[in-house]
Amino acid sequence: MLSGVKTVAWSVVFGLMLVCAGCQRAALTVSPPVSGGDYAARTADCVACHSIPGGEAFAGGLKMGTPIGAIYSTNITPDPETGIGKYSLADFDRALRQGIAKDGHRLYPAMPYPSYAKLSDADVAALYGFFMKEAPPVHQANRKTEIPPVLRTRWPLAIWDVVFAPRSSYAAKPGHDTAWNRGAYLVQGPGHCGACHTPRGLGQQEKALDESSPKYLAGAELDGWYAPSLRGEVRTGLGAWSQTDIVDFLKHGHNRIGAPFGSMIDVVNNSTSYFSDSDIQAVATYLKSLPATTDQPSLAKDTTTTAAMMNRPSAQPGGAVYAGYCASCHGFDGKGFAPYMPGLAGNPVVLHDNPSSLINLTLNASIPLVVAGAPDAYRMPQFRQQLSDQDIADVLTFIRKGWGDQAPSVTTAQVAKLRKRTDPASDQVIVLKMR
Amino acid sequence: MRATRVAPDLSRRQVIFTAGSAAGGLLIGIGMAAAPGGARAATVSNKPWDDKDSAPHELDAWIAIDPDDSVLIRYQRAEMGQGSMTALPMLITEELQCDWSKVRIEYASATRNARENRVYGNMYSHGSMSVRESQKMVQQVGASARERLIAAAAARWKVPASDCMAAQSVVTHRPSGRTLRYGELAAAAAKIKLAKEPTIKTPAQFSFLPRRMPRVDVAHKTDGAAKFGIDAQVPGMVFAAIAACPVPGGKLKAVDESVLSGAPGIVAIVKLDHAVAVVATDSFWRAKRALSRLQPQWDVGAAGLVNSAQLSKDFRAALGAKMVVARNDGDVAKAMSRGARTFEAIYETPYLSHSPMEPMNATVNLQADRLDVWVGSQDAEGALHAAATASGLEPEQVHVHNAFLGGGFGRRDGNDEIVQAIAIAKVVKRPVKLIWTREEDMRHDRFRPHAVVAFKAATGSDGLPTAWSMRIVTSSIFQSVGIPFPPDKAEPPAVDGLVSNGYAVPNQRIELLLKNTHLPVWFYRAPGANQHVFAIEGFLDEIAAANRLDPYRLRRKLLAGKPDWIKVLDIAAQKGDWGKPLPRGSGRGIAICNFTDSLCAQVAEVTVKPSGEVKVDRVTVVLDTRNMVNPQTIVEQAESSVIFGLTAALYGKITIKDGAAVQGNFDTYRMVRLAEAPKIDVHLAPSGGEVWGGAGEPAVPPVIAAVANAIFAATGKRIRTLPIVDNDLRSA
Amino acid sequence: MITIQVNGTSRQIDIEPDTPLLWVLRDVIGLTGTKFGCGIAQCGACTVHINGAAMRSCSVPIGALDGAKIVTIEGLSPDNSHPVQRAWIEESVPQCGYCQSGQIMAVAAFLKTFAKPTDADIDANVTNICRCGTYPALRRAIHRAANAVKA
Ligand code: FES
Ligand code: FES
Repeated sequence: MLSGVKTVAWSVVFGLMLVCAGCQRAALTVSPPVSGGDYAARTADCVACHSIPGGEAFAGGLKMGTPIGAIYSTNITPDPETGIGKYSLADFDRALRQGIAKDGHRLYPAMPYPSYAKLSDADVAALYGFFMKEAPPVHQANRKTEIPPVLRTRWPLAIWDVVFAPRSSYAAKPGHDTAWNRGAYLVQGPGHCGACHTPRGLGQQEKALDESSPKYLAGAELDGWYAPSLRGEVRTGLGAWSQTDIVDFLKHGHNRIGAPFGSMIDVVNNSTSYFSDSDIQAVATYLKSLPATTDQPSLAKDTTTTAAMMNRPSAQPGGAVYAGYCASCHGFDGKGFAPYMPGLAGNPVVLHDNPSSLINLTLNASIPLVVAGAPDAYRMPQFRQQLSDQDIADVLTFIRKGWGDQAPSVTTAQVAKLRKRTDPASDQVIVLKMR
Repeated sequence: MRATRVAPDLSRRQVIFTAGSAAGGLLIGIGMAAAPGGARAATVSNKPWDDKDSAPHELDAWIAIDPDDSVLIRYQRAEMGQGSMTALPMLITEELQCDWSKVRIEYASATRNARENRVYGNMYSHGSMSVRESQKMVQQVGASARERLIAAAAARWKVPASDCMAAQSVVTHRPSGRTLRYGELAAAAAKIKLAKEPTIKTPAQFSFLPRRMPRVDVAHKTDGAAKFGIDAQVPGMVFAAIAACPVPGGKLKAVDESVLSGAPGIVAIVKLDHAVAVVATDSFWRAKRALSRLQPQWDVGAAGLVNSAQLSKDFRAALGAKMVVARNDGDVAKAMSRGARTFEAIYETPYLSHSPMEPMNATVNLQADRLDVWVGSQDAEGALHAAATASGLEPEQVHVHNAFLGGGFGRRDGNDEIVQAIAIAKVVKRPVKLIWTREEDMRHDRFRPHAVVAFKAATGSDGLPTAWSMRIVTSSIFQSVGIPFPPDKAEPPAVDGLVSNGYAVPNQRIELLLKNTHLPVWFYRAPGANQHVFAIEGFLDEIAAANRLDPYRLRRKLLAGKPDWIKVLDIAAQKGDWGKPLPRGSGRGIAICNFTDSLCAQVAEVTVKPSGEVKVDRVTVVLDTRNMVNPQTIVEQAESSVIFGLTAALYGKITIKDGAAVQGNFDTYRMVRLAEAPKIDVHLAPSGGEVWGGAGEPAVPPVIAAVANAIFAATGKRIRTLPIVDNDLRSA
Repeated sequence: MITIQVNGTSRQIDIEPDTPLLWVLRDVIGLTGTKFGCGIAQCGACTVHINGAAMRSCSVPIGALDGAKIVTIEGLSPDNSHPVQRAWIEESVPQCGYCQSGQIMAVAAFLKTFAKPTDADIDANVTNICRCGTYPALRRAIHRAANAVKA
């Protein structure tokens, strides 16, 4: 049996890894890439975690809830007292790629250093240059962690790092072209896509760090959201997406099939929409090369029976809710109005067994997508107040079985659980409310 | 040819007969039965702003009669669904004795009011005043015109006026039977000055009223023709969207305009002291989308730290402070110390947004020597003066074209949208239509104030309260509006719903402390009472429950000697099935109030599911407006009030975070929808007399209290804080 | 360039494709009977018929409507004679009237599928907001219109 202390220490790791995708992200406008360093900071999406809405860029302060207390991201501007102005390149590198701060303390793995470990030396240097010379210094003291002192021990992180964190930069894989390799680098390294999309093991480590494992980017639940598989599954992954679909999604925030939500909004807002065209193509190339882990029959679309069901509330209670609250934007045919309002018929997020994202979106909607400085034209309303657990379970079940979709039902218990966890007023909240 | 009269003829005799005769005192059946086909009697233009400042064949500023007998009647208030556009001309018609089918109704011009020594008097519609405040005036208008027409006929016939009578647009010389139509007399009548103004009728002398009459604006509101302020179309007009500082009172610090450089169709970015606006050529959408790309920076000062939880703490903490006395009967302290039992409770109600269905908007055309404003305003005269000040023009140079209002509820008289539109027009020098998004409308409302009421009471051995203390902390509407008021007196909207309680509790002290914040507060349908009645009727219910008294009978005892109050209460209890058994999980609550000189009692029936979900099944409303013009609109207003009050009771709350309103649209500020609307039975019980009561508001306060009390009856849980959804009503 | 048919008239619309149909109708075409209430498909004030179905036009981008047939309140009947309009007048439903174009369009489409609706059908399907609280009259009018259609 584990001793008390060990249990506590492990829960630190568990807790933090649950929330690495934090919530109250800034939608900051930062001038377009002016240097390699600025661009590298975009690809690594530093601003999303190291800024707060309305705050100065990179001055930190983003609250990340954990079951044992909140932690705050830190000031990474070149301010010598409160920021990282006194960091040498070596200090910076150690923090970035090994998760060890200048004073030797270990960073919580909310900082995705297991991914950043794959950064190239050149990008590390470019980032260092950017944070030392271009990011404006902001004098803003870091906020103290709210984890109680007794739970704050960080030495188990050293063991965690030895076991789980890789140690070397990305090395180009032979047998693949430059685009593929560039894509692999961006996805595995700076983009840290696996932090959300790869399932985690018992130690909360990502189960795989590259395409050598079928678990890599196979989809995972995190923070009350389900980050879908980025592999080739026809229904629940990117199997039905073309290269262009992926490019559109990352570049513009929508495509003919879906739209980002949850933490992915931050990623598009602050990172992928700034990618160069060739880098986006590279990412799409790499993702399209990941094979499906399961064989899924392709969809047989059927819109007529579903449309008819909406008109028979007794036959399918969710149909009435759909007609009353959803159909105007997502269509009676479930096709939405691409690219502005995502379709639901055949959408991988709808089709996955895990309904967390659907429930979360219905309850809480999503923060606004901001691409090229322009907030999205349309937004999803919240239904937390207007629809009961039963209504939401009914309508999601209807959507998941509609138009030939055939995903499992949603239960009221599932809705009730997420309602509580995502209620900003609840004392059990582990996810801050998504706006 | 005479147009068919549409409404069933409900004569005064019937009303009084029914009101007086039914055992327990009932009243008027309310089933609707207008004639099919929508034939209308009086008419109104679908575009109120086309109304002219003057007309041919005017008798005076109010009335013009054409040779073909058609009668133009000017209506000086604002139509927002409350029906006064129909009711006031009906009152004129009662005196004028004209043919209602030949009446055409126009908005009176605020400019003319300014020019002609306020010939129309007050033009606002709030405080349920439209009818009750102008009833005497418009009756006088009708009576004078009638007498002048009679005088003109008498002069033509060379007979004494006293031998003539007027009816249905015809003057008859009784002895000879000769007749002249109004159309034939109008020109001569216009020149006649009466030596003495005629006496107006008392309600008992009415022959035309009260009468159920279709509202004149209804048909225009079923085919898209009715024009609201937002529908104004002016040649050359451009479209503006605006974002004001999210924290009221904050200032615009900076905005990076370069993000819109080269954007197509953008006319201007207009920086105001407290807001930034974008003006676009071809659509509001273009302006709004461009605006969303600006990231203005604001100076918000200390207000940026304010939040609801802290405000609630502060207001509650202030309950112990020194207060201004609003009412002091007997000796509360002494009576309190002698009570058999004492009770204490604190009731709290949140900020609310009016959220009329039509978001705030204004269209203006500003020229060197003339300003035209198209708007839906509850007070065209106030709008005119605000526009004159903002533009620097004289009031006579300003033309406010009032429209139908897409709801008001107290919000549509702040003029902030008009002032903004003028400021924008000064920059772009073209006609501008400014529209607030729903988010802007909700977050920049002038809110129903937050209020905390602390009660203390003592009861005697019979369980009846002997002493009652009520201490209120809320914010000053008068100060927000700019109404001067002595600080050592209690301003009425902050205390009225408590002060006006009808209960014979011998010792009562009501005190007030005003605590103002950076948030503007405003009149909101049934101001004050919509909070106070919930509180006082809830607390009285607590006393009843603790003393094992029936809430209806306790009220009845405390209203001894007030037959009018007892009558509405009794009818409510009787019609609302008070005392009849209900299934488990359901309950009934009762409440009564006196507001705008009307009495209203209600019984609500609710079911609370084990999950805590509340369903209001049925509400019985008894309303005594003393007198009535058009019972149909009174019933409509009662139904409307119940739904409005229910939204406030069940869901309404504006939360303040970092100084700004959190809720911004109907997904976070929930409205009662059709599925949640209870069955509503309205019973009218006009008690007559000299006073006229209001109709648009008095049914709002009691429904909130009755529902809260019904929840107690159903669950044993007392609602002391609104909204109801914030209370945990799950059964264990 | 998007071509739509509005109340039987073909229109060429040249505007950003993300523009909601609502603003095309109101600002570009000048049909102001369709109202703006919330902009997020919550209130229904902007309801029109798109290819026969009641949709909230504030949330339908014009870019997705090429070839669509649209009917607005102005086109529901030439003379205010649609059974729903008649029922609305007879029951005196509108108060401020601002939500009513949307209510009428929503109900007109609803009655096409629910010829004889129960109260439960109405509750489940008529979800437009009326801030004036005309719901009791609205419900009476829906039943009246349904009976008129049947008769
Ligand atoms: S404006 Fe479209 S639903 Fe409210
Ligand atoms: S009639 Fe006013 S909002 Fe419905």
